[in-house]
Amino acid sequence: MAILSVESLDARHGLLQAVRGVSLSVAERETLALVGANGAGKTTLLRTIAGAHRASGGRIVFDGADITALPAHRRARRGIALVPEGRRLFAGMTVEENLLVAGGRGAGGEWTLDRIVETFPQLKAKLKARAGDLSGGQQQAAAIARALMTNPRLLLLDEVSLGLSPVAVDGVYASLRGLLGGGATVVLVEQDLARALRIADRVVCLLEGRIAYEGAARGTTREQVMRAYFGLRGAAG
Amino acid sequence: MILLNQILQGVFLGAYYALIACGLSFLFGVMRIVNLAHGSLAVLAAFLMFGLSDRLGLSPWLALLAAVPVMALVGWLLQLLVLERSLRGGALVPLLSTFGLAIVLDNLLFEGFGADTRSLSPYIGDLSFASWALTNDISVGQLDVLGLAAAVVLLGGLQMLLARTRLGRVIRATAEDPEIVGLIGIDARAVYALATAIAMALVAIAGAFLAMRATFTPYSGGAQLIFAFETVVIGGFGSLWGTLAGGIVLGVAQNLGAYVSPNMFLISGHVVFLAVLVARVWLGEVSWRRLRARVA
Repeated sequence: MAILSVESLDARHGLLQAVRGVSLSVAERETLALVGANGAGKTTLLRTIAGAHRASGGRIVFDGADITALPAHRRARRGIALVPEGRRLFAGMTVEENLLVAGGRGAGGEWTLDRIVETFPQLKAKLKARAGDLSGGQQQAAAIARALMTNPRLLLLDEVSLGLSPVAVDGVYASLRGLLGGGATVVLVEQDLARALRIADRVVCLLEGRIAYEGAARGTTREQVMRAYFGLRGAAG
Repeated sequence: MILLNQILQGVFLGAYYALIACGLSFLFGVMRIVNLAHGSLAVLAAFLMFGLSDRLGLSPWLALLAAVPVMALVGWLLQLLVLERSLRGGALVPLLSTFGLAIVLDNLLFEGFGADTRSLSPYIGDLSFASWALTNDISVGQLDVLGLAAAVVLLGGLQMLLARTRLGRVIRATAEDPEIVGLIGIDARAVYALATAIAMALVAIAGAFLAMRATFTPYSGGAQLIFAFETVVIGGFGSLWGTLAGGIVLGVAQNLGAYVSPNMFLISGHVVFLAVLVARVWLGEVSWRRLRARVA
């Protein structure tokens, strides 16, 4: 059963329509990879689902309820967490404070500081360090950990490998694989197509705000996605 | 010995400035807003307490207890009705709207209370003039000591709140990135409203000390704003202990100026303020780039 359904969603940046009539659904425990060129609308789509960007049309249904009009904080309380592009940690606060501020609403969920440190061992020695002083890979791990501390039912990951060294990306993805193995529901924006196809159950390729390709990751070839990526014919899944 | 006394009295005066400034500093630290109605709101609180004491016969301390929640409510409304809407127009609009609010408040108080000078000092008995003699030449006023203690407790309490509590973490996180706090389930609007309410509760306490240690009129807010602003700039915008230090530097500078010549009381404080501001810009602690980024 779908935990998230997006129906004919539109989103704009002023005069520019960044998302055009996108419809997709995500089942519980599924990992959906969103791919596409820069400016295809991936980040806007994630931000609109999370409530950080206002939808100009369409509907977002989460866990059976229409959340299109809800502000971001109420969506987060329902179980949607976004790890934004660029990490955007609270740089002046310690890593521990970043985690506690996200997790302290007394929800009593499964994600605790101890479990975070187990899942992201690179953070163990850095809990008391200022978040702004961490390396890129550590910051990305902390950003994912902060989102997990809200005990989400749907995790939206925007460009988690952007700007990281290959070693740091491997470290972040090693932690993510553990997360996905545990049954998390994830929508992932990823520029690295090969990595996206390896980790996801399904893949959606956006082109100029529209879905140009959608299919099971296992049966999808790199060439099919690349044709959709560049808007070439014969890409439909 | 006279010089030492001037410095000591300057410290107490500085503590009063820190009391006046801490709400301004706190609000700037959380919301990046310079509230130009700050002084007028302190005078509003002073008139509220004066009215409760003079017309209803309440003790000034009970009037203060009543004024704190009333001013907190004023702060909450100020955020929802003025600051939140102003912020949508960019960082400069709150400057204009709070400047306008100050004019409206000053003139409403003038309409309501007239131009007479008022003070709460007749209502606090001996405290307004009682002092402890430290030596034959140096005495400290009990109200001044109370003001210093209040400044330390309030600024220390705020610091503890921000550093040690979940609410403090939430306020600091919201100050850094209000959009991201929304994405982790925190209502940034509510945090801003709470922060403004806390700032106005602090303004009520500042207004009480203004009313008890001096006289005030409906138009006293401008001078209070200037002293508060200078205190915060000297101490560093958004830094709470810096606010106490800034107040003391300003108070001591004014008293040392008065030691040289009574006419130099105000100007010496302004000179120190300007010197600190220029030094900060030149030394790069507040670079123009950062200033521009804040305004953008």
